[in-house]
Amino acid sequence: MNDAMRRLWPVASVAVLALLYVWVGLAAHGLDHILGIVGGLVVIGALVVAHRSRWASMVLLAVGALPLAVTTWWSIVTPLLAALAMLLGWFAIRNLSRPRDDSKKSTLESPA
Amino acid sequence: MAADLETSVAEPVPAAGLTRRGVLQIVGFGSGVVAVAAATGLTWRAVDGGVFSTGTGSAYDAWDQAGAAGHPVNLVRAAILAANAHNTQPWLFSVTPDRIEVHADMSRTIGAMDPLLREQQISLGCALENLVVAGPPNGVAATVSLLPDPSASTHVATVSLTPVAASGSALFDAIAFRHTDRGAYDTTRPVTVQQRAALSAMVDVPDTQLVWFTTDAQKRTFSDLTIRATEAIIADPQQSADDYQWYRSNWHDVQQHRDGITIDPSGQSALIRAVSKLVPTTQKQSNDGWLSGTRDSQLPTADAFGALAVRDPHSPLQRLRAGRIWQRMHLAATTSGLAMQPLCQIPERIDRESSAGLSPDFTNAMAAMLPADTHAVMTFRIGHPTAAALLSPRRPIADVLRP
Repeated sequence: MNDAMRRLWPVASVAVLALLYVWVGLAAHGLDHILGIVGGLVVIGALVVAHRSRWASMVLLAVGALPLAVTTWWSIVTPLLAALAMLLGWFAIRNLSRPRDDSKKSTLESPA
Repeated sequence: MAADLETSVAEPVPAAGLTRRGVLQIVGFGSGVVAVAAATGLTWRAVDGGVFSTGTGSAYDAWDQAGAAGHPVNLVRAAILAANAHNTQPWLFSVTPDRIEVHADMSRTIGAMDPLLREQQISLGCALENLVVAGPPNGVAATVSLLPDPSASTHVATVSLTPVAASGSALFDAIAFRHTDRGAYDTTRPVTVQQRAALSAMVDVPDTQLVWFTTDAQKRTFSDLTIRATEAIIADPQQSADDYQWYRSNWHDVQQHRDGITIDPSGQSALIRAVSKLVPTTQKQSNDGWLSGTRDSQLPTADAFGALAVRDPHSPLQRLRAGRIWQRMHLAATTSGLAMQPLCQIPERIDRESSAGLSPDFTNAMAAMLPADTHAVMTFRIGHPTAAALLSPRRPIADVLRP
């Protein structure tokens, strides 16, 4: 498993979960319709801002994932999606917000 | 787990194989992929199964189309929202500018659950009442002639339409909001004597009476008998199978058939309804849910029980009239914020005893609860709702109009 893959698979997973949220929102109606679509977009937004502020990103992740999970807790599905998004999102945001050490990496990849 | 997921400077990998850290990274990656794949599958199942789409889709469009618009077809739009047994919607209508004929659709029966067609004729009476109630708001007075053609038993009524000035009514306004409430009722809010009397006053024919069961002893007797009747139906293979024929457990079946008994208006919790949509239910699970819902929720939380009793339970005329009265009562109850639900397991077993030549256990037990020479054609419970009752599907009007 190379460095790029290690770094990006949690990000890709959270993006998939965010799209699932949007899908649920499209199928739902009323408040859940809004919470699903907006929540999914906010989760993606959390990934976008991760390199600027880890904490802002974590807050966005929670704000995006939790409301729909609360209002539709009975569905089983959305609490599961929210739990996965929070867990994988934590790793994704850590990875995205950590500066890459290119000099060390290049040393490892190109031994003299 | 954090260590194997976070990005870090890669360790040198020995040529002989993976390091412990490398193994953990692969396990973490694999677990994550499996979890996201499982979540995707579950989400697809939930969306496809209608978990998030309660009361939506074309199967429910009819509930939004009952408004007055001054055309006879709009009376039929109201009629198809009537209460009916097993949501079979056993009706067909012929519409002309000055009259509407109501016919029984004999392809939509419940077999051994309704062997004498009692429930079908009550259902048709319910539709007829909605049709009449919808007349004045649509600018016509509806005059009913029951069973106008003795040679055509499926022609249950002809409704003559006479132009009048359009006028609204509370009962008409309640048509789209009347739903059978199978949930638990509020045990802290009794139905008043006046409210019951107002419903009793809606019985307007001499051969029918409304019998209330309000004392603890009466309610206990009715409850015990209903539980026994439910168990007897479940234990009767033919009756149980014919009952299950009308269950629509799949969201696509609901949208395609737009009839039958569905999970949403079952009175079950949102969690149970979601699980039922995610995981297919068997006939046994369905029966178990029916029995437990009846025994543990519907009977214990009812404020009172009632029975519409007639002189001749086999008379189509008296059944149709009883159906009209039930629909009128339910509309009036809706305007008063009351919840009602037919609980017809006892009459269903009585009909089964009669048609199959069984010992008249339920026939005799029910007779002991009623005035002499009367027979229950419909039994029900009443109370205050604890939650909004959900919609049942309805076929579109095009499916019920005869050319």
